[in-house]
Amino acid sequence: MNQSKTRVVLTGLGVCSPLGIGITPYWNNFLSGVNVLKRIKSFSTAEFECKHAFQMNERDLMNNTGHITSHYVSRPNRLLLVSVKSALTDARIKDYIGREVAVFTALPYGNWDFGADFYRKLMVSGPDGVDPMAFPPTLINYSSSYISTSYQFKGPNITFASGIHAGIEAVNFAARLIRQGYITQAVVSGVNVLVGDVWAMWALRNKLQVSLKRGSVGIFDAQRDGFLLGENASTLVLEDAGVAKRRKARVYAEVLGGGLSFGKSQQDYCRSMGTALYNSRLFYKDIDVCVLNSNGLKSVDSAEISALQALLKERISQIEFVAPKENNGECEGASGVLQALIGAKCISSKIVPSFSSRQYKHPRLADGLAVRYGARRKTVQNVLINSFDVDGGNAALVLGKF
Amino acid sequence: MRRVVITGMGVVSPVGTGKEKFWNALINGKDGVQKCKKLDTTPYRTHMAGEVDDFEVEKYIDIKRLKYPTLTTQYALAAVKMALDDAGLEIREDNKIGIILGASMADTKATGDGVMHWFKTSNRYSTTPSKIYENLHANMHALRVAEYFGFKLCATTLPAACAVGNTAIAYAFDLIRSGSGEAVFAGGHDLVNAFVYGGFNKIKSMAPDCCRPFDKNRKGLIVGEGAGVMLLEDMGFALKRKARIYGEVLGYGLTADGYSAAIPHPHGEGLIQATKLALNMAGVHPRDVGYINAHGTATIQNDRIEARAIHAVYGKKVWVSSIKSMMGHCMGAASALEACASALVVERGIIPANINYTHPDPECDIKILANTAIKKNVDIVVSNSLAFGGNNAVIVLAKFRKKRV
Repeated sequence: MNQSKTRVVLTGLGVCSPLGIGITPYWNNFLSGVNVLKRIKSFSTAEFECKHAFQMNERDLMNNTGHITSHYVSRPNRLLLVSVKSALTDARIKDYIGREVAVFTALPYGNWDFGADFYRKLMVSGPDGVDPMAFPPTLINYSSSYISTSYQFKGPNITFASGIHAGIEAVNFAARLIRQGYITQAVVSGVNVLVGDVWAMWALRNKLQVSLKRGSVGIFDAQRDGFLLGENASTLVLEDAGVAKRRKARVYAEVLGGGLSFGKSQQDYCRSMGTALYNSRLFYKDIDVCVLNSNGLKSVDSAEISALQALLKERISQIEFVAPKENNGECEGASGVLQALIGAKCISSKIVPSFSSRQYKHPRLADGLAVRYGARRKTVQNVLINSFDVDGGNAALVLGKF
Repeated sequence: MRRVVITGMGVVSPVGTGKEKFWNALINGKDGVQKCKKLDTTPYRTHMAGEVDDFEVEKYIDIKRLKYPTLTTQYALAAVKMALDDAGLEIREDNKIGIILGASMADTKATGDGVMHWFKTSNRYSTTPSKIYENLHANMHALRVAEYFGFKLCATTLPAACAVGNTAIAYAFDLIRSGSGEAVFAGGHDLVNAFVYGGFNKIKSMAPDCCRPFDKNRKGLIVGEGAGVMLLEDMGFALKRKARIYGEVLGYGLTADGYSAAIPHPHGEGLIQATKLALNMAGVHPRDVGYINAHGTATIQNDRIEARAIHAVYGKKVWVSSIKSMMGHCMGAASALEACASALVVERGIIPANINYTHPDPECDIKILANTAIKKNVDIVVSNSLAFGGNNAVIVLAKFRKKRV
């Protein structure tokens, strides 16, 4: 259980998403259920049935990163930089350059394209065919280091590559370090970009949605059978509440506690959620909103719903559920941080988004959940955020009203 | 806050697989660097590597239980199995045991094979063999370990380049200290591979012959490989089950230079700060430190900067050596192996030497333990690691005492 007297708050939210760049446009489009699913054009999808993903608008990205002329700044770095910049602006922290700010980034594949290109040239043309400056960006931790270097941040810099739940793992770790007094401010991000090789790996593992005929099958449809990938970079600014108060920061929410577990069963999911509640000193009845992990993958989604039923019992019909992957896609490394950002906005804006961006007549998987459509006003005290990896890593987080 | 102790370790290294073989090689100054066998080095300027040559996977794990196990996965699994057996830890069904692993990259063999397969087939993805696509996730080593042994707490992957091991130990230390876990395996692993061999050759950071950390005539690093894993436990839990305790983890310091993604800060500011944070968390004064296990890669820049940072904090009073002089730079495994060596120093009272050291470098004005190990009862050891991206990770280990003042 969290014994520390130091409280941890969220004071800045940043996002670079197909739904918008910056928290306000993103949130408005998310609440409106805007659909940004597009046919993939950046690589051939001819061999597979899945053809769609939630992709960034290139013009929007260029408008925000066009000033970067270096060849060594990868696509993940560009999304990440835009997201971090928008979060730091949102947090209104002055003179952050050169400070001991921690940078934690969830990025399971690093700069995949850079690494693949480097290796291919090395193998085909030998050492003379590769650019020495292209070597450092091949390492997975390069993007996170890019943020520390860009802002001259001196705090710890850690990349989390544990899978889909890596973002929540990173938030939990940052909060723990702040509670211990090791750091006072942290920039926690998650990033995911669409890469042909990685996309194909998911397709070959039969994890992508293939039964879509008209663009997308909803994640709670009976015939769902996989997820659609989404591009995203999301960032949270975490601070020691005392530091935030002294600088009169706006506080979105408080980070109350987190939990981890490993395994793919309902009990394993319950353990991460239960630990998060225990560490937050809350009971299941204290939760108002749950931001679901559900992404359309049957096994994971079924286990999540049955875990919620087991944990929340009769309270399940009173909790509001939000399934953001319906119109963001499975953003892998970015998913957890994006879900936390949505949870924080629920608390601060007193608006609960629609259960999902599509309406289900019979959301089979969601049996037992209170399925409510349309965004609505509601005072939210506590939000539970679930993040479960396809291969067994689980993390949960509880945010509360400060 | 709970106290965190070291109760087991597993080692796969260029100087020997298994804790005792590793330790005997270190205290006898065995040079594990030899001509590289895993790669065709003909296109490169250098041809040496620190490779593991005594690894027999069947001794440690039932390989038939694994689907497409790459050599890197085998190293990691074997190191965890060794640490588990060493600690005599029982794995209950409702355990709170986790694994924190990392490497400099994802599985380099599977990734490399994938890249070339797609190149040769003009991205005919559907023809990709399953042994490639099942091994592309960066987190798959930790996942395989957690699945194989039935760990229930976590399977975390922290790719902190060459500072992976210390970063993993810091993360595991926090999980236990905060009460989230009762036992956590932490470490790193890597394989000699064309990505890093070619990369370091290209940036002219590799030595042609041997690894000479802090020597005036040092010519660069030697790429190595292996796996190192330490089992960290809640002290109360370890004492209750009467575990053998190698030492205690007292603290860590993690910082970023915030200077350059490729070269360290010229004055070692990030490392100095990481050291101060680690000593502060440990409640230790620099004069109490008996040995520093240096990052010591033997590159001109790294050693000069690290020596400056060590001098700035400790002066010239503490013995320093780099065991990379014997193993080469084992990348993702490096700082985990160095942490294992450091824990053995506090347990056994012998400091391994910095071999291949013949010409002191005036720019590395620190107390190098040259060429021959010495017996010295050491209470506190500091292990440094630095990484591409400007990451610094320092850990402080101590001889175990039930009551620590």
